[in-house]
Amino acid sequence: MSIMPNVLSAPERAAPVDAFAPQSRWLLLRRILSQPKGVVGLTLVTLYLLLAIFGPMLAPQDAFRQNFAQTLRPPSAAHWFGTDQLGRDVFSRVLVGARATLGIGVGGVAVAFLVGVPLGVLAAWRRGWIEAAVMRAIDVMLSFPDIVFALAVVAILGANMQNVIIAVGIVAIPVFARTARAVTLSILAEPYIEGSIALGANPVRVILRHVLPNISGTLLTLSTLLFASTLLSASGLGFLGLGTQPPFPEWGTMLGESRSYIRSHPYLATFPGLFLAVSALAFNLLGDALRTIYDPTSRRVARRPPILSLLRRRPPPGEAQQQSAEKATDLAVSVRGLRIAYRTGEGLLEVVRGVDLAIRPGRTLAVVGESGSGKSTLLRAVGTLVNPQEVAITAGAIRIGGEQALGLGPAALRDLRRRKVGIVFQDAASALNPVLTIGNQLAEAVTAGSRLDSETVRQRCIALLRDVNIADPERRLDMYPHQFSGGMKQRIVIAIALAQNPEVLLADEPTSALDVTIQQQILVLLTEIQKKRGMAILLVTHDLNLVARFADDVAVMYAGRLVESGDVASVLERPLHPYTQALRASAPGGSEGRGRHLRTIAGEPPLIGRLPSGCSFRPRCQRSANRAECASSEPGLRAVAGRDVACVFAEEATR
Amino acid sequence: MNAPFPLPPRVPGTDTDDIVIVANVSRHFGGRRRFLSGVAAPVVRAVDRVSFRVQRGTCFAIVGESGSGKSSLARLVVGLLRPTEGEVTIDGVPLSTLDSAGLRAMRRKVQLVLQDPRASLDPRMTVFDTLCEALTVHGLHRERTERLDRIKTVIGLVGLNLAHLGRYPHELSGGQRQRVAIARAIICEPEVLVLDEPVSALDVSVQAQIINLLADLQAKLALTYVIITHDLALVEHMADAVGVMYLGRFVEQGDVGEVCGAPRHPYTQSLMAIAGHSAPISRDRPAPVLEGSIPSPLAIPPGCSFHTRCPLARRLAIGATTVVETADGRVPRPCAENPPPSLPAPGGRSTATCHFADERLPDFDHRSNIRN
Amino acid sequence: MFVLKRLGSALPTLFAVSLLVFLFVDLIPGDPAQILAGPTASNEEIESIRKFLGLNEPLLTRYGQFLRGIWDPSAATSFRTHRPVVVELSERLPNTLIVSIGGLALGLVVGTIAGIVCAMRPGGLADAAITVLTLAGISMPIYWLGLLCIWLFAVNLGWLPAAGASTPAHFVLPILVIATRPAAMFSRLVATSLLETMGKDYLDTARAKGLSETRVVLFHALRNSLIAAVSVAGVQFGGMLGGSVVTETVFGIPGVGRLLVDAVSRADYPVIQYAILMFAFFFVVINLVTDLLTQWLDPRTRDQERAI
Repeated sequence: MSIMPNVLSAPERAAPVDAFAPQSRWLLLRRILSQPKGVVGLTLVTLYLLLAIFGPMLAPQDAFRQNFAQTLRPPSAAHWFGTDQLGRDVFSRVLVGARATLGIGVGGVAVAFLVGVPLGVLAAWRRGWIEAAVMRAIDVMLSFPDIVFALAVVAILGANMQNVIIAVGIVAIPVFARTARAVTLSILAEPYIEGSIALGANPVRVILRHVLPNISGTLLTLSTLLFASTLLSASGLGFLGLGTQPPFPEWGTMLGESRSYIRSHPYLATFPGLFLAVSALAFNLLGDALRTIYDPTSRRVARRPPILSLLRRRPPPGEAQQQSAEKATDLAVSVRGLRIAYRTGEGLLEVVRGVDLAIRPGRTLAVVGESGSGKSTLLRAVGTLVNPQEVAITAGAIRIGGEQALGLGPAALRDLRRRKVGIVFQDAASALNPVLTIGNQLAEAVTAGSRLDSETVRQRCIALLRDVNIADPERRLDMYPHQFSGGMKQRIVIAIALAQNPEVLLADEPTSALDVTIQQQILVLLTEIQKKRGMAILLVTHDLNLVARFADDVAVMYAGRLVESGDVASVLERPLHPYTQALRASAPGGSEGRGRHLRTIAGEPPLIGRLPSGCSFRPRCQRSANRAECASSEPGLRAVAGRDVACVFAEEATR
Repeated sequence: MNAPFPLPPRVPGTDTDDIVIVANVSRHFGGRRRFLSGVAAPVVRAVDRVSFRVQRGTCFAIVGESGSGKSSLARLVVGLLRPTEGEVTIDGVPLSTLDSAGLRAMRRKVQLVLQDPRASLDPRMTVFDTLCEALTVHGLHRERTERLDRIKTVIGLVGLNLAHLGRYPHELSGGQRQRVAIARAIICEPEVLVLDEPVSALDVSVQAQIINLLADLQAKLALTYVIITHDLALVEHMADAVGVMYLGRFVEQGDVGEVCGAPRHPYTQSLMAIAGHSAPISRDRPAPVLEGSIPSPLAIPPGCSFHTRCPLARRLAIGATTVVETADGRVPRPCAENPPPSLPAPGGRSTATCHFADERLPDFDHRSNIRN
Repeated sequence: MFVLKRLGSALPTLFAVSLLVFLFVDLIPGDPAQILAGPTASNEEIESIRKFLGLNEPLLTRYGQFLRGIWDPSAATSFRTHRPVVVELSERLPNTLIVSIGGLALGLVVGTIAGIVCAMRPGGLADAAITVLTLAGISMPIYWLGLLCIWLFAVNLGWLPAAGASTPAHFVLPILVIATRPAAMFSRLVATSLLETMGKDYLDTARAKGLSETRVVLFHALRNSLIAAVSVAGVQFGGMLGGSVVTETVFGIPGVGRLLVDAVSRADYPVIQYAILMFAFFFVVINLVTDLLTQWLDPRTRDQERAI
């Protein structure tokens, strides 16, 4: 009945860049039809539109002819849907009524769109008093329940079809205006708008060429969803006897007339109601399909039935794991032959392709790689935090503090995470729950798996905050995450990670969201804590300078595999793999190289799932020079000059 | 479309080789009363009395942390923001003399390249459309074939080929997108490019490509660059002159060799100490840690705005006679009370805004405890 | 402090609403007195109606008179029954509130549970079933659903009375019918925002602490996703109030909605005005309450307000 509910779940955020493909209509159609609800919705909507256009012509009998000899007949061969109280053919009336019913919906949405969208865009563009006035007006309009507002409009203007269109249209104006303003604001905040203004484009051009095309998807979705609710609202007015006036058929009005006969002749209500409900359903389905295309937040990850995740439960067999079992016990982390794949619509997509890692207690291992190299997925897997519904660990073994980490039941997994693992994420702001106090979140970490009285917990929390050098910890316990600066939040995340004295601390780009001076503070803090507690750190980063300063060992990752690993001094000072060498050489630095060209790596990192044959670095490699050895097979890690390198010609670099 | 806009004549007497002149420019935000609530918003001094000149064909770098006001300064130079005080002069034309149409025309000369090419290109426009728009906006090369020639030339200049013209941004890689953004900026033959963190959103292995491209273009097209960055290594590599920004002001500025080679302001010193140099791996001698974080621009500390974090002030306070006890520790009285003067370096090729710019001190202590 | 500020911003809205409702009579094209009197009325009749309506008075006086009608029963009477409007409204309000609040409460509970089920096992059977039901719930015209329910439960099965409001049993069907929409909306909303929350890093932080999945979802994720849901619940309630107009007609319940519909079809302007004013007043109050609730749930909004 009401318009608002649907709309509140409509996207108020514009889709991100990738949600859009070229603006070809055919592509949109293909995307709609790739979803079951889209197929059903679009088919039904098309049928309804055809019905609205051709309905009156298809009607077998005169929808207005009264026949008092044949009143209230049940459905029969002559009258498929029966006859009404005046003996008119219900089937013909339903067909004829389609045009009025859908027409009111189209008209209402058009009115709302034409008034609401310009208002919303204007408010977002001009800001200031215009925006304030528009928003206030919307507030006032939204203070009336929509059907009540529509009733008032009808009461003022009188009950007829045109006025119903105006009434339901006016009711939907604030919804359009508000959404248009919200999406326009979000588009205006996009850098490409600033880019185009900086280019010298005038405001009209910016709105027409950049804003409107980019909000059109959201508005299309909204229109479709609103169409369904406008339809219901308008027919509701008809049902109340305040819509289209008799004898003209409209589905809502027909329902209203049938109300008195519901006890004796229920079929009178059945058919108009069915047509109405299915049409609303059709537009809702289509709107939903559109929303999936245009609103990123509504898209669900393609997930498979959890059959595949059983792989994860079962410890993968293989002697690699057996043979390393004794040695691995004194390592803080041991990873053997780990392979990880994303579950996608097309099947498994391997992102980590056979990785071995070993970290001794008290040491820091840095995994270095570019985006898409699989380094973050690797870290999450070590932290036992990959979502089995999205990611499959297809082979290999992970041991943390000597304990097998794969194939555990939920309770054992929780226990392992609690005792052995602490995690620090790149974005401290999203790593803390925004609605809980710091004290709450720390206490949770402290009390997990044990029973402590509240004073002990409080003292422990305070001690933890002291450990990460936060002044005045007693007062800070009652504060919320948003009240801290970025650096402070990261300290709190570290404190939570330390709460159960983990054997290994996993840090995923812990400083790249922070300013340089703050980065330094956090890294110094981490090394100090490591010295005190003797835990191992697995650091994932893209920053070689940071590795040089803070790590003991380094593993360079490229396209899901390690290409070079060893202690920092040998790997970074005398890199042997061409990728590591190029990374070292391509960083600008020092006045000595001023003005000279930097050494570059040709091309860009390969996309997962589209790796070249043989060595995956081959297409960008200067050393390879199209030698056959590089293309024939993917080189494995082998020991050369005090570190492991995955290059057939690694020795060439030692000369 | 529109005819090429006539640009206003240069103001006589400003005919120097300095193509960008920023004179005592400030930009404040807020302070206006809100509609229907009547509450005045607090004033943020994003940029506060900044001056610098950029010689034609050189590269000027603005360095700072987030919140230092460097992005606002970039937008002041392009004319996207109007200064609250002071004057920006581009190629002899003061921007304050231009109306908004004149400013738009002026942007043919000064182009902006943004940090994240993923976001700075309209997702619904092909590379060709994007480049065409730049020409249309300024009414250049209106002949179809001429236009195509120009686009082909520019596409070649940035290292892309014709096959890329029909693609949408999401079909390009990060490096290619940034090349498109640069192509859009140079297609109208501007004289100044303002580059806002041009490589920091790119993968390490791609950054070097873009840096080299920028260097090539500067040489080929005689461009003047204003680079906004937080990366001192990049500054040392590319820039001729540099301004180090802290809380809306330049704390040190001048020749790159001087400022980066022998920094005199304690803030620059600590930035240089942490800056990534590929050569030394110094695990035994960790870099000094600067205490605390940058204060809110809503509450800029009095006196020298850096005194709340200044390691030099802490050390000097030990021996000084006139010290002040502040919430952040003991500092010499001038630091906490008087705005520091701009002191030129002995050679005169850089200035530092510090009371004690010429005090020589040994390595400072990096293990002091950290406050919020 | 925030409460006061929020109240302060609601007052202008209420003022604008009352003004709009007051001017309602003047918005009618042509002379309302003429319309009321009908086409055959003489000039004297029209003039007497004008006088009765006070249309000759200055606008401000009439507005004062209108506001007085809110508490003074003698100030405004129904054209049709000639009883004070306030009395008419207050007699029927309880029925409307029972149906609306009952429907909303039922809808919220069912919807939240369904949403959690959906989000916990996306792609499962329950998810599919709930998604279909949800779409059906949103698309169903409640007047039709009401008719179908009457036919099934009252006429065919004879379990419940079809129309009226004399016993508690009379309210069962209306509440059930009116609950479908908030239940459907809520299950969608909770499912979507839960799924969105599920990807957040802080849930992994919580998991790394060694918390059970149930605690992670119920304590960390649900609270965050409810913030969005609560603000919609307020608007929902407004929708329910509006929906009562239809529901009361279907089930023959003497409530405010029914009164309004009758008044509209009989051009009983005072009743229309005050009924609409009352609906709007409830709506504004509910939005206020929702805002305060969101505030309480989300500490970030508290501080933003403080900063301004």
